[in-house]
Amino acid sequence: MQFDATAHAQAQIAGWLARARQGDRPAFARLVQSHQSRVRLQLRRLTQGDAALADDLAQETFVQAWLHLNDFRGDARLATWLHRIALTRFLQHVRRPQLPLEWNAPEASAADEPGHDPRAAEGLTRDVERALQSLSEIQRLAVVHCFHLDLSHAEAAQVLGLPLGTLKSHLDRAKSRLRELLGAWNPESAT
Amino acid sequence: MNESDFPDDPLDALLLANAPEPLPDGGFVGRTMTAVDQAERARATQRRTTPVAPIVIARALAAEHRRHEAQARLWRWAVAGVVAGFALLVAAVALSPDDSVTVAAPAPQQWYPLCLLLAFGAVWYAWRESRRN
Repeated sequence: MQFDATAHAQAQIAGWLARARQGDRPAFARLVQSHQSRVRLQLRRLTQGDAALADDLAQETFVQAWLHLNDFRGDARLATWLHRIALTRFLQHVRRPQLPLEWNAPEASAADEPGHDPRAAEGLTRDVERALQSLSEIQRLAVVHCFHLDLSHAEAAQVLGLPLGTLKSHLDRAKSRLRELLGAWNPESAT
Repeated sequence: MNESDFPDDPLDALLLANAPEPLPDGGFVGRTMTAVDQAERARATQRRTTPVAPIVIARALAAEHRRHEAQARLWRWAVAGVVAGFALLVAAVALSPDDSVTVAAPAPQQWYPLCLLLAFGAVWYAWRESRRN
């Protein structure tokens, strides 16, 4: 049933894409409507939560997509292509050629303190967010692209411009770190 | 869509469960489509042929006029040369004291050097014209 819904959504997107390529703006508006949330979320993450800047960059992303729609070969999902454009726009905005691959030493946070209980008052979501903030930028982006943006490992690697093995390596290190930081969290009690 | 090395990893479930909520449109699509329209108009303007500046047109016309004048001058000199040669021929025949000067067509093989010279001249002229264009 879920497969049918996904296949239906993909078919709808393919139809809108075909019409948009012929210059149909309402069809492109439907594509924007269906992808705006994930692109804006990606850019909000990249801009450290600057919603206004993220929305500006997202708008530029969709304009670029419209102007170069015929360059999209369809080898990847449209979402992957849009995420890649969004990342490129972000890097152009901050004038960086690529993402930093080195480990950024995380700043000490409350979650690092021994004896800190993530189930405390601020809530689990806040603790997960805080734990994510303690990762290096590339590790955080690997986690966000794989778990929050509904991308496969291969798609996330494509978006971030990394070899698949490198992405998985970053993901493994990120998850090890997250296990340490969220060690006090008990999945049994949370479910 | 997500693939995990640990299918039953509770951390994966935790991360998936704590994904941010989808963002509402909030006018984003409308603003984006307005920007798309503007970008499309800008692209259409760029695609239009750039108008040629009047000074460029004037220079081209002046060059064409000079070339035309040069060709007309050359043609006039050529015609004058033929007329002068014919006049010289007539004068030479008319003024010969004892009718010793006659007009006689040369034998065909005597025309060959002149034909060769004319052919070289035509090829040189064509080459010069092609270089000019």
